[in-house]
Amino acid sequence: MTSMPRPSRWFLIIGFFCLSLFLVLAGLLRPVGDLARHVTLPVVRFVSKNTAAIFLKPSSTTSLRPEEIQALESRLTHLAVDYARLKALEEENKTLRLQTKFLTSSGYDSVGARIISRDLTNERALLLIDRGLQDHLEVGQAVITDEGIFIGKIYSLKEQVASVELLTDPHSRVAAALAGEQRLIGVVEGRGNGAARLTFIPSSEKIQADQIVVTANTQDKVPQNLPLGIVNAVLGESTDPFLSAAIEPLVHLNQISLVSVLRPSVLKP
Amino acid sequence: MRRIILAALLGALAGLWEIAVRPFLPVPFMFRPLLMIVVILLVVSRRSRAVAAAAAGAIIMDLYALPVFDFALLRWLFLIFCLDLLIRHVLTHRSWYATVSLVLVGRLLEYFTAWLIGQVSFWIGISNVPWSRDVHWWIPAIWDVGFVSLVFFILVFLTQRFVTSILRPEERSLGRF
Repeated sequence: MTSMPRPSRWFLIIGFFCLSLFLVLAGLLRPVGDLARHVTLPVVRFVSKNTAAIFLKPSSTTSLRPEEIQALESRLTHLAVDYARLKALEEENKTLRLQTKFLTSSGYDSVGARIISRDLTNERALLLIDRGLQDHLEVGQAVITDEGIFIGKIYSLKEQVASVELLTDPHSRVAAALAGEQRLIGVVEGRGNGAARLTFIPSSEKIQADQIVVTANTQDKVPQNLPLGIVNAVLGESTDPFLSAAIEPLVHLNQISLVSVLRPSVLKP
Repeated sequence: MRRIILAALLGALAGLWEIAVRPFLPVPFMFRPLLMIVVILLVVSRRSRAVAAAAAGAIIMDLYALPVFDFALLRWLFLIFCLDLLIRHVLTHRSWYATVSLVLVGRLLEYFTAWLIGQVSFWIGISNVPWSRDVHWWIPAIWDVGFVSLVFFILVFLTQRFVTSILRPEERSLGRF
């Protein structure tokens, strides 16, 4: 009687690799992954929360050079003037809304989320948050800080977690306008390493340093007028068809531990 | 069996460190413990325990991977396979420099397999985000060498496992024992 030949070890190893790859690419392991994530997420959240609490402290201003402090003070003065003007406009707007019984709802509500992991390198700026499909999030929704500053968009989703593409990621593109003006002025492109650039600014536009850049009203899931950065320098000649501007984010993106995702109110569970 | 579970638990903790602790640490402390644990287990313990640790850690990394397409479980099993081949056929003696060589080869292989999977998935369109090298890629390598050296010397000192018991000819002639 002849016995069945035993499959070789190599055959088994290659077979296991191919089968695993097929299962992953076909998405057949997704329910198992969701279940495992459901079980482990509280531990991951606890660990990242405590690590962030220890290490993500605001940087001390004592390390700044005198000229940097002077530049910041100058910028603060400009912003204070802008703030006073905007405050007056806001009061006026409030009165007008009351008078006309204008609908105050912006049409969005926010979902708080904690950053559980991140990848901030020269060529990538991504966050992983502890909210996902089960919280009715969708790809492309705006992600803001607790002060309401736009930092990025939802990039990909799983059942319990989602990844956020920060506005400094080289693949990020955000339509932008200048604060106080409604029309689209250009596109904020991430440049990696914490930098961003406002591009395709028509040379006829009046843009200068220290102006606040906000989101424009041309993106499906991103509300308009969310502040996202400040103009550091305008680049290009007046003879160029388009100008560009170096944009500095309004928050230190590597020191954030909590964010909010803006989703349309109709998606609220 | 209990030791395999213990190794898996250790690997899972290392995976947890890599996804939830390491990204928030200051640059000099951005070490990656999974490879160190796997190499130590391969050198002083058994392959099955190293596989258990690597698999547990890689599963945690796969569960919380950022959008760059990765398949940490397969990568790490392949890595163990290569390291095991090395330890059986090339670095057969248990010495400090063999252990350090093993961990450095492991780190290079880890980067290479991550690059390969990232690039292939980008080219064939599974992922929109290409793999990119960590700016401070050398920091984990320095930690790897320091940590495995420390553990190796502590083990040698405490257990006397890798101390040779054969006397050299000049020691015999001097009557030293």
